Amino acid sequence: MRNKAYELLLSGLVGFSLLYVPGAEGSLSFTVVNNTGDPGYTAVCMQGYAAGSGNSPPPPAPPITPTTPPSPYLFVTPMTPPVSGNAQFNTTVPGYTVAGPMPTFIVPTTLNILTSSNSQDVSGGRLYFWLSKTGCTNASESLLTYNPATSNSPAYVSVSNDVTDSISSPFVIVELTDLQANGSTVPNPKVTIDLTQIDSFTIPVNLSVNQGNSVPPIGGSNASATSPQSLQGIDNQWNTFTTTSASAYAGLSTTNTNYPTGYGPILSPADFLGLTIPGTRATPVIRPNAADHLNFVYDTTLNTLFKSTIHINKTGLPGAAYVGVPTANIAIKGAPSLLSGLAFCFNTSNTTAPTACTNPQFAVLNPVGLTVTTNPSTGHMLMGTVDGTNLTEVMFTETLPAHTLEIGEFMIGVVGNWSGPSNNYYITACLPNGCSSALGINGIMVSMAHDTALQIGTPYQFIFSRIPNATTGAEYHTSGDQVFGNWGVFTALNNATINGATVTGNADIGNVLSSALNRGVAGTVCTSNCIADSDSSFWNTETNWYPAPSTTVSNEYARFFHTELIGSTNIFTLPSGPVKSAGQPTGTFMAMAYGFPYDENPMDNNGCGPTVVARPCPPAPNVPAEMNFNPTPPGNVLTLTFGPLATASPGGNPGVCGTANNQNYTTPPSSGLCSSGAATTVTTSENRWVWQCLGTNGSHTNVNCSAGKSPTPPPTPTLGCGTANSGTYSSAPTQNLCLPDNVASLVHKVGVFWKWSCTVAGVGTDPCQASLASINVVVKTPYLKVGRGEFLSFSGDAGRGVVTYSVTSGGSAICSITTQLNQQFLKTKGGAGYCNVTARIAGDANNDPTISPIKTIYVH
Amino acid sequence: MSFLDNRVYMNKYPSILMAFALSSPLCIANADTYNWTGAYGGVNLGAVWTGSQLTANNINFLTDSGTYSQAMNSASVNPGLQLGYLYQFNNGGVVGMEGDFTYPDASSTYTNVNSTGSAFDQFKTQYNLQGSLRLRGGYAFDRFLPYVTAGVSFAGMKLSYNNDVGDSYSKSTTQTGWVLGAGLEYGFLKNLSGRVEYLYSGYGNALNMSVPTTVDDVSDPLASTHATMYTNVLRAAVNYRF
Repeated sequence: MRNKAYELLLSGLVGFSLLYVPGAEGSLSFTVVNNTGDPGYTAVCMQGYAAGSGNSPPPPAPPITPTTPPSPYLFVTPMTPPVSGNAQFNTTVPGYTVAGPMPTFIVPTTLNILTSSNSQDVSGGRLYFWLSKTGCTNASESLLTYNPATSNSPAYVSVSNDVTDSISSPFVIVELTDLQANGSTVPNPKVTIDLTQIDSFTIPVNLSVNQGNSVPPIGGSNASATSPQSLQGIDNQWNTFTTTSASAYAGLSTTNTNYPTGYGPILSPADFLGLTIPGTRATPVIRPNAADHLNFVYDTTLNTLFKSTIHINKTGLPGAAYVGVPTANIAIKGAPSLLSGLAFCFNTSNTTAPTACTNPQFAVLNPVGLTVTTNPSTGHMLMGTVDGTNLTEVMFTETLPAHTLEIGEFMIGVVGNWSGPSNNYYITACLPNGCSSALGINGIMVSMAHDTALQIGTPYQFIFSRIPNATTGAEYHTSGDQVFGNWGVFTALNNATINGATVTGNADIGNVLSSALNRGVAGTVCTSNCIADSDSSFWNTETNWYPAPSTTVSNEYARFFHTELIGSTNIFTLPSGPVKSAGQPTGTFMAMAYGFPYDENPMDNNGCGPTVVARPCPPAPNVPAEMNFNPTPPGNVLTLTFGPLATASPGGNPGVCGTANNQNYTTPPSSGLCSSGAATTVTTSENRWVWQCLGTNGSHTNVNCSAGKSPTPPPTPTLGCGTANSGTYSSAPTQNLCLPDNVASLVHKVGVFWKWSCTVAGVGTDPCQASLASINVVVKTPYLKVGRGEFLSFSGDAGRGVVTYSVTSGGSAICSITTQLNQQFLKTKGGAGYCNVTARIAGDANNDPTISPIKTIYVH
Repeated sequence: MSFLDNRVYMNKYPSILMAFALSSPLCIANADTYNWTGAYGGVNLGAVWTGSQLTANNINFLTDSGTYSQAMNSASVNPGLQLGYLYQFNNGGVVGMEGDFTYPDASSTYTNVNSTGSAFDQFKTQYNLQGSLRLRGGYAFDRFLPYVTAGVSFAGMKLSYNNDVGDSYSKSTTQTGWVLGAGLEYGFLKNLSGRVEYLYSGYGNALNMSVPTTVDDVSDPLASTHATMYTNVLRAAVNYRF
């Protein structure tokens, strides 16, 4: 499938099959999980249609009402208001009710919702799920539109991607891809499931499909690799693939543990897409996990890849109006390891392919692999116009003064009008660490000229990458983000309104590039005329896809599904009369989703993507829903999850460590073990308390949790002052300040006291004080003979500040204080009398100054 | 004591002169040219004027600055003995060597008392022995022999300090210096001659003494006293010529 935003097909075909088969009275429970983050949704809506060849063109999609869809079309709901009660479908088919925190939908009591006539080919039949706040009863909520065949195109059913305040974007498309041949024991026609066409991220799935008229237990024992359509077989091959076939991916483990033990590591885009990176939006947004192994691999390899200039030819680019040929290297000059240049050159002619791009006229600079920073304060993109040789009127898409390019800015796309083919334009980009000319990238980087084929509107507009901000957690796009996440340069963008002007980005650029990158054909570097094997025609030739892993970089996940076989059959086999993308009448076939960004990530739909800012972004889920058929224990519970997979994938209650995790306990913790799932018995290992939180209700997410083993805590210390309290000290007391295990503050001198406090955490603080021993001048003798002297010293309050002495003379004595031998020396002369000496200790930040009493020394 | 104080001279040294007079075979000089060659020995008596420059410092000296710089002089009778040998050349030139010992009794005291008389600092220098080993050179005019002499001098000396609280320090030393002088000798008899001579001896900064303690246990470890010593000697001597 190629309808990028809302086509995540899951192995819910089993459920569909169950619904389909009349008389299949197997007990099947639905668990509905709302992971959208918006609790306002009160109903789950379904619509579906088939586009098989048996009834071509397909009949128009039925309206929301009446409740009974005209046969043989696929069912169209009505949804009923919520009914209180259990949160699961808990009855056998037909007739379901569901209630609880999740909005309720009631499958009509008749099971003919999938009924088709014997001539009805339900290949490609799909069910669309979406969420509604108004109960799915409003006809305007219908997402399906039947488009009759015309002389120029076949009939098709389009799916609206308009998200309103009332309804979400469609979550799940359940796809029936084959019509089973007649058989003696099964209804005829019978819908079976061509597992080679199942889009699923929830592999491995213990899934077995019995073509008989009974419903086997899901995940039952008859799942095997020899079963005609057993995903177990895929699983086995996947294990082999990830451990031996591609060394670069061998041993990588997934961040998603929602897989049964023993199935080995899986590199799944679901992992990549399903993790949350906090954003600036009001509600958390799902962003590609930049730290995911898959992304890591991609970043590395893409960075290497983009060291070379890649050229693209118009030929073979579906829906594109490109004109041009591969050119000589016009890569951004500078350090190639830092600045990866991905440039596209086009000529003015749309009919002739020049042999070389000697007159490059249009360029796309790709910052993939670089840290793109523009306007970190806002996270908005920039736009601007070319004026002569300068890029001018660059501004943020919000209302801000005109702004010049900042350090780290990179233009990633060029759209819009040009003033004429004779004008050349130049764009300057800067590395994240500056625009120094020493890097060779300042000034003219890429020459661009007018290309009428690209002239779409005015003004001449440039679209720049959005802004990562590692500090604030705003958008951040690594190459992996852009490839897998449909962000940045690879983002499909159609008719976005920016600053009141319509900007048409060419989504195909991203798609084609992404396809080429994923298929491992983008890295072929043109060295001469660049026609033979490095243009888009080369990229679109399937036989070129997925070259040997040792020679190229590709999406190994997609490679697996594209190249691996079950028996002699490709895992992904294009069915006869495959369904095409509903969103693109001339689009690609459905059922080919194996990890391309525009296949699997709907985050850019409905104008909420990274390159469109004009529309408010509803809290639509960024990751589609999921049906899980791998209950634990195996049974017949089907979990239907709407919203990000990360929080509930693949359904049920995943094991999540509780608040006790990583805490310290003297005894085994008994509460807070798991916030989700079931806790095992707490045991000890390497001086830690360990337990597991096991996924329940179908989840296989088992996580290990542990807490530290701390010794028995000592009794709470008694708060109080130590024996130093109320004492008298000439210097700040340092010992016995507080009772044991109290924390003493610094000792300050306040007035004639030493003051401090004693604190016991969680108990309180006690003030303490001791008296300050007064300072006194000390002399050897209070009597001096005229002419003699003696050294001065002091007692008390020692150890602080500078001590100075002063003296006054009395009688006939003449007294002086000088510094002798680095000490203060009192000297007398004259006649009999006396000397009055005082000492002063200077204060400091914590202590007051101190002056001693007068010390009289008599002179005779 | 005056150099010419006969009372002292006669009272202190009568036995020496009498013994010399009785034991010497006195000969009357004849008309022949006097011959100065030969060994000789005799006694001398004169006066010595001693001088010293005292420099002292201690934070607790009575002076405001805690220092003293004081000249200290003295004089005394200076009896002694000498022994030597002369050789007369045919041209009348005379050279020789002489050693002597004298026994001065010279001392000088300086005392500084404060304004209330409650304290004093007192310094004292003393000589108790002085001798020399000198070369002599002159020219004989028959019985007259004018000469100059120079050589090594040595002296026993002492510096002391005391004050009102009983601090007392002293230092004695035998100091070597230099001596320079001149004289005139006359041969009364063949075996007897007499002479007068002047000698100056310098001993430099001869006395260095630590004076650390003053009063009340206040100590100045850098306190010291120095004395630069020198003497002037004027004396007469008689020699018996062997």
